[in-house]
Amino acid sequence: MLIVYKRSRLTRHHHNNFLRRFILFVMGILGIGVVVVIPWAFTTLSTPPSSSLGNSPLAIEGHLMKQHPPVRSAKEVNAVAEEQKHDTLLKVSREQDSSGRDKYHTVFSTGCSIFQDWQSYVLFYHMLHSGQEGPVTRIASGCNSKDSVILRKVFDEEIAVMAPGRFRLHLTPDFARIKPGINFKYVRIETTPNARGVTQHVFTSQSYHCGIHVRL
Amino acid sequence: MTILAIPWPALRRFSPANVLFFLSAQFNKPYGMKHWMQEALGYPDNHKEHDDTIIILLDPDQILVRAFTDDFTHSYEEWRVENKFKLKVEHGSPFAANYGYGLQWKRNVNVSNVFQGHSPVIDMTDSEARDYYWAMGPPYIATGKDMYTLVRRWSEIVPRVHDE
Repeated sequence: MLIVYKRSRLTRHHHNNFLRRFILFVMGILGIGVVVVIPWAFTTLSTPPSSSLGNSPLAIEGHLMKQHPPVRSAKEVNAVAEEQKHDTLLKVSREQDSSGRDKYHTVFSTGCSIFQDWQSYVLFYHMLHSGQEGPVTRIASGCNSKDSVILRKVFDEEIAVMAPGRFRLHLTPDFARIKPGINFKYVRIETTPNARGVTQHVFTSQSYHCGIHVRL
Repeated sequence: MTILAIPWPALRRFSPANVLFFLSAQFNKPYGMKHWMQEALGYPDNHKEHDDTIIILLDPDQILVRAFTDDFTHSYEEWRVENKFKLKVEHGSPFAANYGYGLQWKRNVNVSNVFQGHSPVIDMTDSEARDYYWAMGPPYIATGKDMYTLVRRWSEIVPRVHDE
């Protein structure tokens, strides 16, 4: 009785194991089909087979003549029209700005963290990509002397070269925990006629450093 | 271990570095702008050179899908004020994005303390504020002249708002 019971368990176990392997095999085949075959078929069928004939007149007559213009919804048509209007407006504004001065100046304010370095990098790229006119300045506040050197170096090597003369970096002191007139005083001192001004930031709190910015 | 791991992300939000970042983020924009306009552009002495420049102030987490101009006449943005408003950035006509903070700027502070002196905000009704002075945020677009006026006043007000 005991032997029969064991045999039946073994038989059932082997049966289940085989079934499980078979199901996994079928699922694997289906998975490969979904991941590889369907995208391959979709890309192959959706691209026009124009490469086989090259740029011959036959190719133009045989394929390009048969192609229909893409069907666009009313919303897409309106969006394209608005973009065209915007581009025209931008060209007009560029033409009007013939004085040599920058008509637009885009600015954004950041701290000095690596996180905001990446944000700045992306924003500078999109400024270039969108065709924004005029200089773009990152105001970075609160960098210590070591970070300032690194930030300036990375900016010159990685960002300024994207649009020489247009992308700029402006470093400022740390403005956290400001109490105007209490721990922060802003003094402007006019000096010699050659020097346009000397601005001195005086932090009365001992936790702040003192910095002197000379603008010539 | 799991119990300890759950509150950690929440605690990290209140770490000293993040609190300092939060504080500095409030002050950096007005004071950084003021510093930049005075040091890089030469305000107030050199104001004539940049008064007509259109200055666009963004947040660093914003990206552009198309370029800004000073004229929104042909643009398809929706405007809060329904009629009799300008669609061109000029002196006295700055632009900003509408934000969902409503009238918190007025209701959540002691107005007479924040806007010291003779400010029209002190006598402003909620209805008037709702119609014309809803909370705004970046992008701010203004002429250099207006922007300098704004950042000077902004940097006066922001420490008092923070104290509230």
